[in-house]
Amino acid sequence: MKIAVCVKQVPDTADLRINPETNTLIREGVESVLNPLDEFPLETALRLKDAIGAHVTAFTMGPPQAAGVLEKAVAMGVDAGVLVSDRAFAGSDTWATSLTLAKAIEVLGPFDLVLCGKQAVDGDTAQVGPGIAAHLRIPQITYVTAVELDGDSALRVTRLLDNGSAVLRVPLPAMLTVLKEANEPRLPTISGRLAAWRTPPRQMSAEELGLPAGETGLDGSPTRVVRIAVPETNRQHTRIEGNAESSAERLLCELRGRGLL
Amino acid sequence: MSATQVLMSNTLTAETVTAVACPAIVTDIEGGGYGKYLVDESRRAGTAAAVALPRSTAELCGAVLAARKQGWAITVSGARTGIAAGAVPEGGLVVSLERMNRVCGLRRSVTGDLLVRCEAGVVLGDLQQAVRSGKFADSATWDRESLSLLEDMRTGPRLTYPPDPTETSASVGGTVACNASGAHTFLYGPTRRYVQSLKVVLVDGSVLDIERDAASADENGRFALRRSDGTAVTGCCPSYRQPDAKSAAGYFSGERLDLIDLFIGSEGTLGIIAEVELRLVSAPGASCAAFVFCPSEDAALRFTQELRAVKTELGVEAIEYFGPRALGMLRGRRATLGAASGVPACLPSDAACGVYLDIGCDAESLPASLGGVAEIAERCGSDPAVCWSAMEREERERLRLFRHALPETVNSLIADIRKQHPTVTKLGTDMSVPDAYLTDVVSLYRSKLDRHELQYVVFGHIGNNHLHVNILPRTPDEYALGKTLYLEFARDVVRMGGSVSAEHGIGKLKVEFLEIMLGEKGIAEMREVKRVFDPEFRLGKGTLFR
Repeated sequence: MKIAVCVKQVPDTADLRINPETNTLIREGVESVLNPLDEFPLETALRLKDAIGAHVTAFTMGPPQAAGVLEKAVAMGVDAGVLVSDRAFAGSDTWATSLTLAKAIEVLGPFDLVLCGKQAVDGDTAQVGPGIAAHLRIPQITYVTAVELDGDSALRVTRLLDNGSAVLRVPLPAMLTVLKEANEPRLPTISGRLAAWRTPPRQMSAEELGLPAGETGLDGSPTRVVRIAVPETNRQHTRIEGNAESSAERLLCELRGRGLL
Repeated sequence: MSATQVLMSNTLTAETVTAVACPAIVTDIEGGGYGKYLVDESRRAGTAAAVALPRSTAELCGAVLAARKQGWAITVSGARTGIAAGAVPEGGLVVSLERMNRVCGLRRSVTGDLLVRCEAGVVLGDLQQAVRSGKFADSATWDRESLSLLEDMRTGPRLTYPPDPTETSASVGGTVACNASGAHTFLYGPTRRYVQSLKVVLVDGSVLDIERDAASADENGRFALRRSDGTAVTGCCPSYRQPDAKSAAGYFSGERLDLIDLFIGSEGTLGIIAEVELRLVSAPGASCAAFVFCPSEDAALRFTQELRAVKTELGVEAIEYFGPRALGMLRGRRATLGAASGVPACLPSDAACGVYLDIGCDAESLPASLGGVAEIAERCGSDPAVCWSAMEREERERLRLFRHALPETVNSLIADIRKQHPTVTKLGTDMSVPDAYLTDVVSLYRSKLDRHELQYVVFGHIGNNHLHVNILPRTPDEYALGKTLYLEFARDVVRMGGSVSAEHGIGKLKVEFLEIMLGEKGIAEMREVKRVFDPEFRLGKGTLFR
């Protein structure tokens, strides 16, 4: 089985600051890390690797420094990293990004399974995974909390719903977006880290993907960011203080008072 | 050189500083909400007649003179993070240095090192953060030289202050008074190595400025102190040898002892450290943490010993041990609490014990260093493919939580036992031995504790042969047995040439162990040193001496 996992580099959320004038994220001096929600599809892939010896490739699209997230993926146990990087990709929206990643997966494929995180914590769109599936014309299941093999060419997948979950059987190839409920990601290993340092990721340019200029980057993006606003938070909160017993009593009262218990 | 010249060259001069009244001396301790000054992390509680909160060295002198007038004993209080009860008063005046918390400036030493000067009450974690970021809250008040050096600091290679005791909320003065150390002491040495100068207020209210390499004892160990009134007081440094191991037990000693070293680690019994000047060093360009799982305790010891031989070459900053029972306890925690336990699910099920490492070196050397560690680990029977490595903040945080889960588990087990047996407490050792005795001391701990079927874990600073044995007695009988064993361990460790306290200090709780280590003669020599600086034994009453 060949598995592709798409990952993204995002600013470390422990140190998030917004430029008050442009309302954009200040990225200078902020460490970049692997999108935390991408660790769950990586772990899903690595468990399939442990179980049946699947070959796992991590893909990321971004500037050269995005290679850092591939280093982490390989340190966790992924077999290879692919950096899809070209000036022509600058300014891509979710359509152009998913098209570019889908193309890279197609060129290096075929892959039996494509895994993505629910969304990236910086853009929060949750569109790229489904976009890749659409461009590749393969089935997709989002909000996945469990994955099991079902014979040689299908998976049994649990999908989280508003009021429960659904168990689905999906033939391969397919694309899944995996939620944090699915697993507990492993820590990178020493051998993995050394392997990542030994073998830099494979780089793929626009030319190698065979994508015409008008289909990538800003030109290939049908959407534009017109304005960015910092959301106003007006949630009310009450702080319950005191010892454990009296706090628990107060909390119980509050919950009962609102008819929640 | 004549005898007089020798004496003069080794004389320290205490000057009279114009003492000013310390406005904050309170006597209503309980009513005024000052009860926190009667306890420290040892959980022992003391008594005091008053608490002083000076804001400057002059006010500190004022407080000391006020105590003299009243005939009060003086107990110095930093951040009270110590666990040997050094800050717990036995009557008299508590002098808290928490308001003396200014970073005063920077200076370049004659050897080119950057020195940071601060008052004793500065919090260690704040100082380390300021050094890391190059942002000092007090820099607006600094002189021109300091500001120019600050600019160099911000634009030059990154600097660091290496001592890393676990409790970063400790005060800088407290860390110097206790010669604090931590995991990184393995590569960088304890606090002592980084102290360039001290301003010490003596019990008579005079002030001593001591710089490293400026005053030392002569070849016979003799030194002299000239008081502010011109009278000379002579003394003799202790003649006992320091253990060939990490130690925070008793006054420092050695040939031609630098007198600054007498005060470092003296646990507030010779003078009150008011200001310190600390040496900063280059920070490693890159770092990585690793957790190596070993197939047996012997394999972990071999791994440690092999790493020790190449620590500088590979940049191994810390080697920390998790013994078989410690790992077993963590597995139990995972089984009970799941992901909330802080114990990762990927903890290998067949590992007997674990060794945590910090590696710090140039960015270019990091692959070779981690590769070197992997090679040694493999040679010692470990599989680097299941050993963890952490570089990102989140990965390091997961390792921190995992390491922290052990003391948390120990504490919660003890809390459960205490519900049934309130007199029982955890018994934690803090002893170190010379390198050659690491295997011996580990098998000694194991055989004695196993023979008595006690519940225990062994973990800690194995790189420094400084393992913490935590005994968790399940009954008062086991508690009594544990205490007896603790005393036996102290004797055994001393026989191996080790120290009865490697980092926590003697304080008021381990005076008996210090007596085992130094003997009557050693303790008498310490008393003589104490008498030079504090003839009435008013400073740090109950600490180090009975």
